[in-house]
Amino acid sequence: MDLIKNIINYLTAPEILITLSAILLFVSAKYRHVFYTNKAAAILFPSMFVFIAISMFDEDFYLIVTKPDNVPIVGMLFLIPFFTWFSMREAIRNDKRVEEGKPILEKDETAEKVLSWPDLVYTELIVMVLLTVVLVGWSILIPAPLEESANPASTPNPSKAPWYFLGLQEMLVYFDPWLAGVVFPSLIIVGLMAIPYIDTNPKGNGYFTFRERSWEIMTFLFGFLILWVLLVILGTFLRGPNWNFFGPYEFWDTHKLEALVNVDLSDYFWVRLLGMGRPSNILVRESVGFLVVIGYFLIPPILLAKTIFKQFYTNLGTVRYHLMVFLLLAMASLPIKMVLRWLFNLKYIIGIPEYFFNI
Amino acid sequence: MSSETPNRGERKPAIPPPAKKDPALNIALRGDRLYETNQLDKWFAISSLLLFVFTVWMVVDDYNREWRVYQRAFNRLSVEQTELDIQAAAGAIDPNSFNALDAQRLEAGEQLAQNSAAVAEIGDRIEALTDDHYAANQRYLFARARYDVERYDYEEAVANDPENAEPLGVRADATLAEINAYEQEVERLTIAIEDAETELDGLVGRRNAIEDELRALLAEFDRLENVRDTLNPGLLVTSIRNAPVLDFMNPSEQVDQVILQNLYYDAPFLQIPRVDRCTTCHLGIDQAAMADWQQPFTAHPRLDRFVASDSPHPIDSFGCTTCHAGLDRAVEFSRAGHMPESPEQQADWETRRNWHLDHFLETPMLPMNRIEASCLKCHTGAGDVPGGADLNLGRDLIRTYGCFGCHNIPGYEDVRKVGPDLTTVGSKLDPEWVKKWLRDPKAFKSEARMPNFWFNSNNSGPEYEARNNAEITAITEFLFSGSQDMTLPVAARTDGNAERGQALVETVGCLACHVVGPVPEDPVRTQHRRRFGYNLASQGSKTSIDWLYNWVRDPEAVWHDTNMPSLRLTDAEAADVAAYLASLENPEWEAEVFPDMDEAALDEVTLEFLRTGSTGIQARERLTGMTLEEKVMITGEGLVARYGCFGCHIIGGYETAQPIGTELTTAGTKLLNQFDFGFLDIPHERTAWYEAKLSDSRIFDVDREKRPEELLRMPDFGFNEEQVDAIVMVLTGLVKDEITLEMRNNLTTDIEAGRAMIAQRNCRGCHEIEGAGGDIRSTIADAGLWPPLLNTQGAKTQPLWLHSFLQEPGDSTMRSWLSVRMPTFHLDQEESMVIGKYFSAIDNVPYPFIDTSIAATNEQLAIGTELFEANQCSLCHQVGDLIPARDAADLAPDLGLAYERLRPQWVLDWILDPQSIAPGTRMPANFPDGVTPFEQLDGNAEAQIEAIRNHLFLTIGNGERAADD
Repeated sequence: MDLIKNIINYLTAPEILITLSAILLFVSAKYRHVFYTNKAAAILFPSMFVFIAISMFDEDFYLIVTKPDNVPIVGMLFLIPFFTWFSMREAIRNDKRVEEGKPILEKDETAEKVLSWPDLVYTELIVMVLLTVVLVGWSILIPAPLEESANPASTPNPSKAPWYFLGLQEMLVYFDPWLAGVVFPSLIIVGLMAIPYIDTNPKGNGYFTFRERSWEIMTFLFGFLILWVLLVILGTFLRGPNWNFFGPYEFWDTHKLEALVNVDLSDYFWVRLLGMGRPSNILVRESVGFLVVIGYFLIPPILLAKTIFKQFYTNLGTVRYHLMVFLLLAMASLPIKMVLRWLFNLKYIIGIPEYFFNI
Repeated sequence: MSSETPNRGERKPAIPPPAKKDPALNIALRGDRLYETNQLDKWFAISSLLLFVFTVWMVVDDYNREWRVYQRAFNRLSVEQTELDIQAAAGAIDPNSFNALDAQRLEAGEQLAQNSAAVAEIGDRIEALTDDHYAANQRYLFARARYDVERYDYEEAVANDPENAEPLGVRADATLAEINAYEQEVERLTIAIEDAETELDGLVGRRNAIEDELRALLAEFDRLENVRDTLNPGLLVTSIRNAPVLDFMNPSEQVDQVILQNLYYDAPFLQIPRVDRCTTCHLGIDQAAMADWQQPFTAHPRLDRFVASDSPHPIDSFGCTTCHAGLDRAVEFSRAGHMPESPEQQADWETRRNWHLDHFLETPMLPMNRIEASCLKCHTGAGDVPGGADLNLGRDLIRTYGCFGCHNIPGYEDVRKVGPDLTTVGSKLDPEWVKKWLRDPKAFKSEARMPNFWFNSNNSGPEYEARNNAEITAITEFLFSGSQDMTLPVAARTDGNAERGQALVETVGCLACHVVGPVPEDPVRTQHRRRFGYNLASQGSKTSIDWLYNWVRDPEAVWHDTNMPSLRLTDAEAADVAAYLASLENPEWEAEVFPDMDEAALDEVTLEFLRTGSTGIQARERLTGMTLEEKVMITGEGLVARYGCFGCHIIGGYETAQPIGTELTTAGTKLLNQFDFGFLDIPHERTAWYEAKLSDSRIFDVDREKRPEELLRMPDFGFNEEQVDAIVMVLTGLVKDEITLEMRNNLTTDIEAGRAMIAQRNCRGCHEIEGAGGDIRSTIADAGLWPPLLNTQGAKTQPLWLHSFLQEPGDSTMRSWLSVRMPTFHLDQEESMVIGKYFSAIDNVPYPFIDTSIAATNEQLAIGTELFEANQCSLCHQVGDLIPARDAADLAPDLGLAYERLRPQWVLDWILDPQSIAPGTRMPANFPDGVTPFEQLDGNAEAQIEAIRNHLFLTIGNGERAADD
């Protein structure tokens, strides 16, 4: 039993959990006829339930999962996979029908209209009442605690953001606060607002489909599931005191240590590659970093436009194309930085702590 | 659902049930409706019903909250108790007097019935008069209001418009005349009503008087019935008052709270007033009658000290959590932070009350066995806190073991270092002895106070043997190399007799502060104050007889800063005591030889010190070039700093060194995450950490991989469980909460300073003060030979006498037959005054100037002499040079000193009732309960006592006689 727990503890380390999840996402999309079926759901969801139920016997797991604040995230563990699975299943069905030359499901369904009263409004009312029932019951069973007056000198350890911001907090592990706390959140909002103007593909409007929009869907799923939801789950259940990682069956020991041996790119370049000291001039020292960052945002758009994104480039036009690739690269920078950290202990690509400018 | 639904009725065929499996296939069958209305209605009904059930559940849940259940139970118990009281009150009424009164009432009623016509007529008359009186009074009042306006108009006109003022004046005068007429009418009616009432009283007066008497007889009964009706106004009233929503007005069940204006939950930048809601459930906390009610209704066990409004700590200004800690605003058992005091209680709470530890509560309540710790919040002086036995023990231990030498602890800032001065160590001890002592002080004497630095749980075992020995040798050599020569004040007498010396040690009072060997157990009184001075065991194996002689003869002459007072031993006595102490040898110890130092081990330690400030290579180079002596010196010096030896001892070169231990000023509120629990499997609580640390100071090194210089350094004191608990009590009490000055102003600095002095001089080793102390009494079998109790010393003695006595105790002997002596403390004037002020402040009597003159007539003095003889005072009391021929234990103090020693008022109180002042005294009560068997002075006991007192002060003594008026 301890062996299994240790294996799970090991597998849930951020680098492995995120990598495996990303692989799983793409593999499941590739073999979607196997993963997004009723049979797969019949296996997946009960086994998730059994897994959590059995794990409850572990004291540390039980403590984390039953913490009143965390209970909704346990619900999210089921809800988000369910809706992902559901939409993918519908999409696969439609794709199959299209292949067979039949009309899509939604076309049949929407051939005739139904009335908003009572079919919509009445059901909404019922759902509203039921939701109130659930909230009342929940608040009786898990009441909000009265805690001690907040003491600014004694912040809780770990200090966690509200659950919906835990993804941002996780980003802080990899990026300087001005990036993870200011630039990225702004880019996320602006980027989401820009999507309707960039994505002009009319396919998939009002019906489920995967094949016709596989690029868009996978980009979205990667950004949403891996780079947001997974980080929320990670932050909720697996980040303990001092924001250290703790496996689900591990005791949250305040004194657990993690080696801090991360170095900047300049260190790699000047010291390890060239075998010399780091230049005293900041700009010279960080020149490599600047080149890398500028190159990252300048070269790929041009290269991609001539190769795999040729179609996009012609469809979107120059401005929209570059905007899309910029947002895409910004999004990709998070997993790229994560991988660099895990593999090379890379701290910053540009590290100018003198002026609080780190990338 | 409604008639607007266009497709209802016959126009459409019946709607088939919605598709289940594949909706796409059923569109043709389903028509323009997705769901059947009936189905939706059904689901709406179900969900509405659920919402109703959940809403009811919510209300029920709210109405069964812990505190509501308790309030109901308390109300029920109170009603039951009141019912019992009503029965008792009914039983207490004398049935005979009740029946008699009742019969009289009936009889008076019958008489009255005969005159009923007259009574009715007078009643009507009074009613009519009263109506008239009301009307007349109204007219009078309105006229006066009008007059005030008119007078103002007139005055205003006189000032601003004199020509037109005249008619206004006339108008006001007319109204004034009207007022007077009305007033007379009112007065006339008032008199008429009074007359009529007197007339009526003549008829019904007797019956009313009887009814009043009856009411007085039933007063208690009626009062209790009222109480019961208030407590239990009936189900209907209670239900309405507590009904949901309506309960915002005046519910009978409500959260009860005390808001404290001057006491705060103290967080940085925030001062949050405490809001104690404890009384929401602890409903009987201030009711002495509820002392044996079940929890949570039990009364506070010490209402004389706490909670009650006439106690020094009333609940309205001190609240509950100020002392008990816990979450002030919580009204649930676990949330409030209740803490069990034992594992048994915890198990009990867990099963009965669903108790669990709240990890998020930084300040849970103090368990009841640690509650004394809270006294330290305000009682921060170094003195004892009355009633805090364990806390005081802890503070005594900190003082005697010198914890403050390494740790900053409030209250001990000015206390001298506890260890001996080592700047002259070479003149007193030899190096071999010091090395063996450092290796294991407890091997020399089991009660040694010096802690073990080496061979503890983290530095024992073969791999540490050579290293420890090298460290000990280096420190010893370092100390001796810096030692200065000291010459003893006088040449020793060596003709002492050890047996006589032992007798002296056991009788003159040494045992108040010293013990020889293990401290004997005494079930009656604590013995810890007898550990104040060093244990005397094995003394002969330590120092020379020369040194011992000089020391016991006059300690201050040998070492100016010593705490040891002089017992004024004669040279012969000093020689005897020195001979006895020198005979206390430890042959086993003397036979032992300290091993030679291993130079390789020394090199290792030396290197650690050489490496500070230089690289490893430089350090190793320096080491090879050093002689053994150089190595020893540099290592010894470094080790003294590393172990902080200067915290307890005066060591040359370390006079201004900072203490090395952790700051303990706020040890009781230190955040939990600042404690390193290592890999020790103990509860992660502050007290558990302190307990473990004090039981074994190196325990948190268990399972840690450390280099020798990184090991924990706090030495092991060998505390037993009781001592650990007592010290943890003090640490728990060292909290950060700021207490505002106005909350502390009841504690005068006089009292605090005095208590500190009492503790510092170990006065309680001999004397009982404020009800605690007198440890030496365990060694004196006969209570008549005990040192005096000082419980009422302030009220008892004259300040000037006390002052001079403290300066020179040898000059004034009240009981010359006692073998135990009041030592000479070499107090300076100021120190004597601190004690004098303290005693006066405790008893609330004036200090230092008091009037001791006494007014007395010659006859009164003569009677005093008679009574003095009649009461046979001199049968026990020494009077001047006359000592009664009795067993020493039955003798009483010299009355010849009374006039200059005692306060006149105290003597009166003492003679009247000695037992109330000193319980257990052998002084007989000559005037039991204030009644006198003598006839003089009209048999007035108080006058007689005064006469005796005057005899003592003026006839026997040389007291001042007040001038006749």
